[in-house]
Amino acid sequence: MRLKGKVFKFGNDINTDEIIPARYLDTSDPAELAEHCMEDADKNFIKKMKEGDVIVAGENFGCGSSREHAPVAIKAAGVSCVIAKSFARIFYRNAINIGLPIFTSIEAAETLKQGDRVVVSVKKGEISKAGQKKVFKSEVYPDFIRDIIEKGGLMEIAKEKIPAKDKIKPGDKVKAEVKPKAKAKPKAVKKVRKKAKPKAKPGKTAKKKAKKRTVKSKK
Amino acid sequence: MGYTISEKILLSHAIGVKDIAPGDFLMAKVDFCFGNDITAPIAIREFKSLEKAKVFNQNRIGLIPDHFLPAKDMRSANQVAILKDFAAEYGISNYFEVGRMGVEHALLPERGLIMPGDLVIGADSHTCTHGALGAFTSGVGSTDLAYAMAFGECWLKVPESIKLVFTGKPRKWVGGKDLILHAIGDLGVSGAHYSSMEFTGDTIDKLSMDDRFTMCNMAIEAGAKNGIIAPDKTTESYVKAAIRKHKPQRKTFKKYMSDKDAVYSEVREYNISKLEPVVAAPHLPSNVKPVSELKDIKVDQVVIGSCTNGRLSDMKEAAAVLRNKKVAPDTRLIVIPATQEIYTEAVKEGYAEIFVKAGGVFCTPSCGPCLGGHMGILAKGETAIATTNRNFVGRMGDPESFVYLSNPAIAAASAVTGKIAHPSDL
Repeated sequence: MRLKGKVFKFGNDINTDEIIPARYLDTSDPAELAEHCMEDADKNFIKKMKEGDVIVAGENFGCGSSREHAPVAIKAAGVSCVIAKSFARIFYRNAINIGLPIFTSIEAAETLKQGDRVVVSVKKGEISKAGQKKVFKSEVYPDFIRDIIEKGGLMEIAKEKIPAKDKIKPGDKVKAEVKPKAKAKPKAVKKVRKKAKPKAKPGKTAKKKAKKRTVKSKK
Repeated sequence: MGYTISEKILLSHAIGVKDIAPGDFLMAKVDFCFGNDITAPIAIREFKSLEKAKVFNQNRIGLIPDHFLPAKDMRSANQVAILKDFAAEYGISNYFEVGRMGVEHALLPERGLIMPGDLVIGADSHTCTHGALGAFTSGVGSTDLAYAMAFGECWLKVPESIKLVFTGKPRKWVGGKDLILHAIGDLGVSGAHYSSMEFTGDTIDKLSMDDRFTMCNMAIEAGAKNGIIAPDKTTESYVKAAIRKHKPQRKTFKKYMSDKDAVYSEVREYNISKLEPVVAAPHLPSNVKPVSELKDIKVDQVVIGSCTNGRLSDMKEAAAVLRNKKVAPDTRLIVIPATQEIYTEAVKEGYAEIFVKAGGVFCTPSCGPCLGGHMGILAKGETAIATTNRNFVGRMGDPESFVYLSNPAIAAASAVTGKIAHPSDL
């Protein structure tokens, strides 16, 4: 797979609060998170970037929180990959787990400039400026990691690991060793929420319902 | 060649390997895994996509809504409902409701749910806190949590180990927060990148559990994979008391120590006998300066709490400074004990009354303002000093606000003067 796009350059220690500020963590919807991608590092990033563009950064990209919302926002925004001198460790594993290609290359990160057009070969881990022969090689992934990336993320590997007998069968209720009292609780919560709905402005409630349906259909 | 304590714990949990070395990738069995109201919704969605009928073990998963609790708005409430419904549906016993909960990294040790010798992963970067119990505990992402909930396993890369030796008796008002800030100031925010930070030395031997939790809590701020302190009599007393009080399912544990010939990538020694309290200035936890260099900086808000310094001894330290004093007229003081139990004890001991009489507020357990969530967001141009763990741009509110990090005594003194201060200034 070859990725192509324009470079957006950032510095060292770009942290997760800049990539996706906590004020947006009241959702896990990728499309909503994408709207605020990199907002506190560059509030115009999401307006300027186009599908396929590449983030190039210095050291310790993604430091700070474990929020998976950070690579999710980057991927959902349409960024094709992140190239950095080094990655913070939780961001690194989150990106791999969700299938966001990331490449570690000090040379590429230092040489590439804002606005450069790049081409990246995911399989070979090779980065080059469009139309130029010079190739920057990324740090090679161990087989274990390459497997996760090639399969499209950790959940794809997980799906292969579950025998049919351990799966929920269509129409079955989920089996849980739960006392009947505990099962009753969610129903009580739902009742309270239904009572609260009429208090909300009709327009706003309707909008929220529509949003929820959209999210569910994407699944 | 010998193993470090982190390596020993990883090896004892690794699947299908007989020896390990830094850089190896392995699949490990986890003793406990957990997430919060921000990270667990994604994990639950991913878990459900597997269509697996059961979680790996209903007693080894924690779902702790703590970040935006009590629910700050409809969207946060809906995120919490995802955890609550999932816990009910899959029979997960460790779901903690408002009024019976706490900030996850203070609550879990209090309840005896994490033991020495454990391998624990949590979908929160400050999971490293629990290394103070002599366990290997590391922050991971939501997808990792989903995988662990399904299989009780997590992929891990064996980290190098860095040894930090602390010697000397700390001066008055110097505690775990100052020791870890001092180390982060020395190492930088990626100085312990992908490493295990092992804290040792006679200073550490004499530290309370609360101070040990504070130190391990901030290992991530130096880029570490985990922080760890070998278990000793102090650890054992704490763990046994938690088991007696809360009767968790597991009542036994293993104590590991680093071998004398264990290999470290780096050893740093700090004699802290002359260290004065330190403060991390905006906008990195490594921008550490002695408090004496920062006096005269006006503060609009003081926050005392969080998984870093929201424990009972932190409440006690702040109360000792604030007793019979008043908060400065242009300053807000927000005190947040980290668990319901700490809250109750702080009320009983009279600390809560001291905070309120001084003109501050005493809140229900929550992560709240630490991450700019709720319960004390900063306006444009405002400055806070907080006992929290991060001060990146916009961390506590407006991207044009400023956060200084300190220990509880410095934060409390600053609340009285309205400027960054030391208790001796009062």
